[in-house]
Amino acid sequence: MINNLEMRLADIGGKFDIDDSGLVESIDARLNRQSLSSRRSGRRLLQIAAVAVLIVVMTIAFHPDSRRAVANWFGLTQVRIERDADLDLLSTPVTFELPGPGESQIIEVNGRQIMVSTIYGRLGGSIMQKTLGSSTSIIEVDVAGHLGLWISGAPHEVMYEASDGHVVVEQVAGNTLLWEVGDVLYRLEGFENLADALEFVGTRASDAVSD
Amino acid sequence: MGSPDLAECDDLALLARARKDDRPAFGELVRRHQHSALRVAAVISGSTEEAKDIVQDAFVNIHRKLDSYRGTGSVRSWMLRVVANHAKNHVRSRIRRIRREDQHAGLLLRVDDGTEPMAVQRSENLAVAEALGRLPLHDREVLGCRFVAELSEAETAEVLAVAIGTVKSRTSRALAKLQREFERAEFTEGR
Repeated sequence: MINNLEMRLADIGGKFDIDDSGLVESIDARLNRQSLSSRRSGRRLLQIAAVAVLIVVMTIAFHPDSRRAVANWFGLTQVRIERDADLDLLSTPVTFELPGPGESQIIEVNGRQIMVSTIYGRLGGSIMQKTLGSSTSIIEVDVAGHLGLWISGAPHEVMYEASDGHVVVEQVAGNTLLWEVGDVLYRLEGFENLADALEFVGTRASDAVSD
Repeated sequence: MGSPDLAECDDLALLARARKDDRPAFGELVRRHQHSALRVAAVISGSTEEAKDIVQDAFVNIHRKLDSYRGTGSVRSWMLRVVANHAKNHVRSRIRRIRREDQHAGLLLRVDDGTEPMAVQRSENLAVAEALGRLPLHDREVLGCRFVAELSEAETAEVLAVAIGTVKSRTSRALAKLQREFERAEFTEGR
């Protein structure tokens, strides 16, 4: 009976109902997809790194404390660092309008410098948030009827999905209000508290870009 | 895939080419060993339906770690070991999901022609397949490699990463269990 069982086992192996057609092609297609995905991932990492570097540079440029820290690090304690001349300082927020996508603006509100940036991107869906330090808090807020986030506390990092699907990492040193209008994401940095930030945004949140 | 040039290469030569990102060479390796791989995956997983997915995952993984082949044992045994491990992992993850008694429901056999001798043979084959499916994993894997995939004792030892002596003893015990299981099923069904 044992020998018969061995023969039966060999027999059923040849009779397994398995559709093996196209197996080689399926594997080849998966390897192609992985290869493509790997190349995209590499490019994405480079883009994230580039954005992170850009944000660090922007943070250094816009914050006196950061500028001083970098200057001290290089031993340049007596160096005066000038603001980027391309970014005009406005002192009349009453007439201020939110910048268009791809633009940034620094304005002065009650003696404080406030930076407003606009990019194509979204908070919703696959947003990822990561905080550096337990003292950072992120709360979801309503900004004139639009989804927003108020990030306050320690320096932090915010990751969100840009309109082309890339993940963007932003290093933010101060309290920040982010809100989205359609495919556009606004960032307001420099207010001490949420109420002041929301009051400043006011109706501009809705008026700048229509849904 | 499957050009005359590749068909003349042995497995080691194909592996060397595949390591240099020669995709057709890797495809030829898959084509040569897919039938054994599918049988091993089916018996270990207890499912002909899931065997193809398991083998596909295993070969994608094999392609990722082509450099890990150390030259001990044949290329075929090395690849089938990866397939067997994938199948075992598949079973373990499924065991976590479903009840124990549902897990070996699917060793399906193709339908032959409808003649009387073939119908009898098919009935007996089905009974053996069902009995095989009810055996514990470590018994299924050794019987699957030795008889269903028709590997030698040495190849089975390489695939299961055990000594040849262990393959012999496990085979003997597993066959005895299979026979008891087969007889129990015959008695239960009143054949």
